Amino acid sequence: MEPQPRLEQPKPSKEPKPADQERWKNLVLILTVVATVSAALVAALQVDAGLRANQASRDAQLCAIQLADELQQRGLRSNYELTRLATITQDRLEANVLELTALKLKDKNDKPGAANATLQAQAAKARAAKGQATSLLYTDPRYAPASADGQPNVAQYLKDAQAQEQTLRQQQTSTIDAYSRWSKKANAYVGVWVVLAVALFLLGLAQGVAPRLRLLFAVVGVLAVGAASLWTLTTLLF
Amino acid sequence: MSAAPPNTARGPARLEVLIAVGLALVSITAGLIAWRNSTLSAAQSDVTRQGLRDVLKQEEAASAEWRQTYQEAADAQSYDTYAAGVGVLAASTDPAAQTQADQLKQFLLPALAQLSPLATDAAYRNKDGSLNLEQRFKDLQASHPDLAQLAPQAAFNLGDAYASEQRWLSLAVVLLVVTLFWLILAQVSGRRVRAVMLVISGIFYLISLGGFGLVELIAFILRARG
Repeated sequence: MEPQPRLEQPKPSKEPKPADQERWKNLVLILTVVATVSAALVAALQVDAGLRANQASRDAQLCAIQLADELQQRGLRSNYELTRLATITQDRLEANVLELTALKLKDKNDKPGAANATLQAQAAKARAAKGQATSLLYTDPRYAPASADGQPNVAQYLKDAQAQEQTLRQQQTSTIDAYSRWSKKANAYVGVWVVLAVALFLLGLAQGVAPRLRLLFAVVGVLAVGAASLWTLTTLLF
Repeated sequence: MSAAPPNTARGPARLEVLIAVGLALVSITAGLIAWRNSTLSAAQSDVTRQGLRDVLKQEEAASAEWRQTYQEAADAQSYDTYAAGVGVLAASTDPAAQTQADQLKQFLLPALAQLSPLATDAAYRNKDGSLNLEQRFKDLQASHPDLAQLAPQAAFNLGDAYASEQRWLSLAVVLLVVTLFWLILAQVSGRRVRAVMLVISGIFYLISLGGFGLVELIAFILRARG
């Protein structure tokens, strides 16, 4: 019997089958959409941070305007009270000097001169008394002198006058800090967006390359999405 | 006559058309919400700027009014102290002093009184004789009714309302992107689950659309109430 010729086994083709070409495509597509949803979420967070930064910026500007106004008003108030104090002190000193003058004139037997000096001293005293009766520094128990001849507590008055200014200054500092914090967050979210854009670019490229490279691009894209998620989380929490 | 395509082929083709229509609808809606967000952002900037401008106007006017109030108060104090001194001279027995007091009463005190309404107007005096500066300031403020009508806080509140609306709209955009996600999944998935995913995306789309409408309605009602 003649041996039957053996059928040659077909050699395995090196050309990839169409099914191989499509491998991982659906996975990459889903990863792309996940990255898109992440980008949308980050965009929402960025909008929120931007809005909060805007509000803090507005509040800081408002505080700055109010602080400038308070500084000017404090200047006017202090100037008014301290000018009055200077006038009162001047009248009191003038009265003392005129009383001394009257005593000297009396010693020299200049009675009309002494009477005139006494009268002028009384007038100066009356002016000082009128001023004291309506001056905040003499009528407010916080600043009023302990004795009739004493001086009001000007240091305490100036300290109290700065209280409102200090409050506004603290408010402005806190609003500026808030602005800085939210602005940094908004900027960080833009950075996250850039990383997500890179991830989307890689995932997009993965769609058009060979399956092995596709997987590589997809893995790098997933890593980028992971890094972006981590960055978002830290920005959100701190 | 050509034979009609079998029913099994017609179903998936219809679903693909629906997915395409869905994608177009979601994209258009997202664009609409983005446009609305942009107009809100512009409106928020406008009202904030207007509020700050109004605050500046009011504070500038208040500064000028306080300056005037304290100037008038200083003049009134001068009047008071001179009047006290003149009183002493007038009460003395010295004819020269009395004459001096008469002259001061006749010429100096009226001149000083003219410098400030606080000097002689009883409405600006407290019971203890001190000056009621707050009342004078209020009266000066009342002389500028146009400035009193400015309402910077209302402008800031409106700006905050716009910001709040923007936040909610950005959430609606996120829901739209989720809708997009399900539509894409429907596109790439097998025939069996495609319809389910399409329904899910439809639900998300309706939620985002309803949310958009609700946000706009609530914002409109709140703005109408002021």
